Amino acid sequence: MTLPRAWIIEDDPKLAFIFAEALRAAQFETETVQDGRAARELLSGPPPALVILDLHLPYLSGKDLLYFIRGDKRFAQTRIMLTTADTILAESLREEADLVLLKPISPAQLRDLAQRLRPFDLNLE
Amino acid sequence: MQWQFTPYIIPLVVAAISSMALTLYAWQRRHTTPAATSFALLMLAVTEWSIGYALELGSTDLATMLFWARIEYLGIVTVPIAWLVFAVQFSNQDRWLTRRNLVLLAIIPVITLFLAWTNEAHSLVWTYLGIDSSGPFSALVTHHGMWFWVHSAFSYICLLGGTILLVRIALNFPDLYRWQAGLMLLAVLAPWISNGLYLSGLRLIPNFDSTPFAFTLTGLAAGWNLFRFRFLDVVPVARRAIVEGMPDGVIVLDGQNRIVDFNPAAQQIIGQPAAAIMGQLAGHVFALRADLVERYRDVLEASSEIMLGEGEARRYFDLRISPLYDRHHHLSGRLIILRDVTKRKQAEAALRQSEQHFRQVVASISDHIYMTEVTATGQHLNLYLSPHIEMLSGYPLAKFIDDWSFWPMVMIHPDDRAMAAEQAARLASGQNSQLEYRLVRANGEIIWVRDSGRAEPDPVRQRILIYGVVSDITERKRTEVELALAHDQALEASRLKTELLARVSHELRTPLGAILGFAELLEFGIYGSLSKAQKTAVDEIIDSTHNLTNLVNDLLDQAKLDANKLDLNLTSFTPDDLLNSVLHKMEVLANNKGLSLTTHITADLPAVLTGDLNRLQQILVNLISNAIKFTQSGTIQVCLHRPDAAHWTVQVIDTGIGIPQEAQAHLFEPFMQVDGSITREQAGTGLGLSIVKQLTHLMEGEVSLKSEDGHGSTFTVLLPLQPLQEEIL
Repeated sequence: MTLPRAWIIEDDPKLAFIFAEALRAAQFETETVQDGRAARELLSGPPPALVILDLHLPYLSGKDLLYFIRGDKRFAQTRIMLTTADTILAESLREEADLVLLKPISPAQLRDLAQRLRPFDLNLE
Repeated sequence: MQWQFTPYIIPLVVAAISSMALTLYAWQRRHTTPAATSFALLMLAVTEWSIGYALELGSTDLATMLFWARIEYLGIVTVPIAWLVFAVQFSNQDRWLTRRNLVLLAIIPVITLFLAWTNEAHSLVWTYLGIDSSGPFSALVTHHGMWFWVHSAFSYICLLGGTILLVRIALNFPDLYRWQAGLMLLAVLAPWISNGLYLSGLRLIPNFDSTPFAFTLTGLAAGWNLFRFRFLDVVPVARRAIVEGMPDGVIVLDGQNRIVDFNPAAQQIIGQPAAAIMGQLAGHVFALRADLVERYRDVLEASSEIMLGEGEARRYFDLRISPLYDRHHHLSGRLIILRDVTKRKQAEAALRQSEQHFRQVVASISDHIYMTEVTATGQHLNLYLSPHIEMLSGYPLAKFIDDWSFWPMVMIHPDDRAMAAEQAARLASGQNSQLEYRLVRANGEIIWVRDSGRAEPDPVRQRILIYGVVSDITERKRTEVELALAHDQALEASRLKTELLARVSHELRTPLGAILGFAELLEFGIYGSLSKAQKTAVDEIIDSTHNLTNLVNDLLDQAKLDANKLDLNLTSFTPDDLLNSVLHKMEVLANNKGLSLTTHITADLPAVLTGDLNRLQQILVNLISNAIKFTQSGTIQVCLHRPDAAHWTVQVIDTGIGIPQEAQAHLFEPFMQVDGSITREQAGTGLGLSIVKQLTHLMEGEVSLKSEDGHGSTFTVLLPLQPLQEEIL
């Protein structure tokens, strides 16, 4: 059984770890990168089911990555959850993402939300 | 008694009739024409003389002739003195006509008359009386006695005195009256010519004395002047009226400094009876002011101000002395005119006093006051500059008085001159203007002033008067700058605070995420199953993290509200949209405390509302969590109402401990807690209600509280009903 894949793009390793644990609990296979450049490289691979995207990243901002992903048809099925500590930025990108989570993020809440976003077909697998 | 007729009677009859007519004519006008009475007397005497003479000529016997001659003497002795009195009156020398003088004048004529009638006893008038029939008629021939010459001499003196007065008047007539003057001279000289002829013996007609006839001519000519031309009454009356009625004192001094004439005003100034003044030496009359007498003793022409009297009675006079010359341009005396200028002096003193007050007022205020005239040609002239300009500028007043441009071109700071020139132009065009500019003082110091000018056009003199006040506002300016700086600093501090809060809250969120995350991971059992105590500890960590997160959120909101950076995001929503997610979240908390949370929506509430849904939810969350915190048992009710057509309300009603009256006023202020003792248990950020209030105000609403200590609280948020937001959506 192949689990749906989730990318965790988060520069804080502790939070990345916590998100990974939460998503694992929601039956996702996770891949974590800690900066924008590494995230850019991921984009050439197969599209994931879910992206947890921190907006504040080194090298390439989360916002740019968001537009990049949204602009690529291959990622049409990919759900994006933005995580940020910046309320104003969070507000402005509410329409672009599937969900915007304001830090601090409860892993339990993340787990529940991720479960809701799991692709139905994959859920069956 | 026999009568003869001779044609020489005819002119005498004519003379008698003429003079009688003049007598009556003058008598009728005695009240309107001065000198008319004496003129009437003169003419009556001439009439009497003429009639007597006519009857004398008509008589043939000596006794009858003598009788009429004696009758004639009544006229003969009266004519000279009547003549003199007329001349005196006519030349406005009435004051000589005192009763005493008149009695003195009458002495010789009365004696003459008496002697004429008693001649037989003494022959003092006539030494010989006879009839001469050699001529065309029988005439009385007389040789004159000693008294006759006394009488003649007296008569001629009177005649001469009167003649001199009248000739002087005639010569002084204005050119306009030359004709009348000639007539006047003729009238005056006729008796002289006639009488001269009679006395010299060069008689045209033997034994005929033409004197009465001559006086008739005089009467006709004088009467013509007196009544026909009316100038005799107008001019002298006018002159007399002017001099007599003049408020100025007029005094005439002769060559020996005797007072020979004066008017009532002069008498009043001197303050002595007329008799004590007339003919007296000026030095005697003005004995009290010997200094003045001495000073002006030989001064022919002067004009100065003198002071007479003491204390309350002190008066000031304009003294004018001018020389008087007779017809031959010989100095004959001096004319003194005293004009009372006390009132003017008092007015001047009052003016000086008033100006003194004005100066004191000006000196006592710290502002500089000026008055400038702008002429029709645009030239500026300083009319007044208050001395305060010296303190203001550090330059002497004289610098400014002579040169208007010193202020705009030297005093005013070079950078402000253009601006000040515009103000000057505005004022010069008649508009009021106020300007604040800098001055460079003499010592180089720069001060700020406010120049307030009021322009007053003076169309009559085609100029504009500018009244201005220049106030030193340096201190105020300094304060303003300091205030502005303080304001900027306060704004900057506020901005920094907001920025700091935003940054701190941002930076807090990441570690909070780690704390919350790991605590929850512990709870998941990722690190093994937890004992009950461990689970409680983890729950406390999670709970505290939520509280801290709430504090961070509230602080951030408060900072945004302080910086006016919180914008409302208006959308349309249903009451359910508003309530459901909030209730879902809050029910758990309420239930944990054993409280029931109910909602009530009235039917008149619109199905769709407009507003910032997130912020309204935030308000609701804050109010409900507040209610949960302070309620131990019972219910919390959330009600949505529509109190009137234009408003809707959100009410949160609890059955909690209530809020004491004295605490209610400050409840909506940041970091206020009703009672320190309960804050630990019901810990909050202290910002919740403050944020509710500020958000409500932002939504143009009002939040109110109704509460009684121990009997629960009702928070009501009253909001305007906004139009639907479809166009925004």
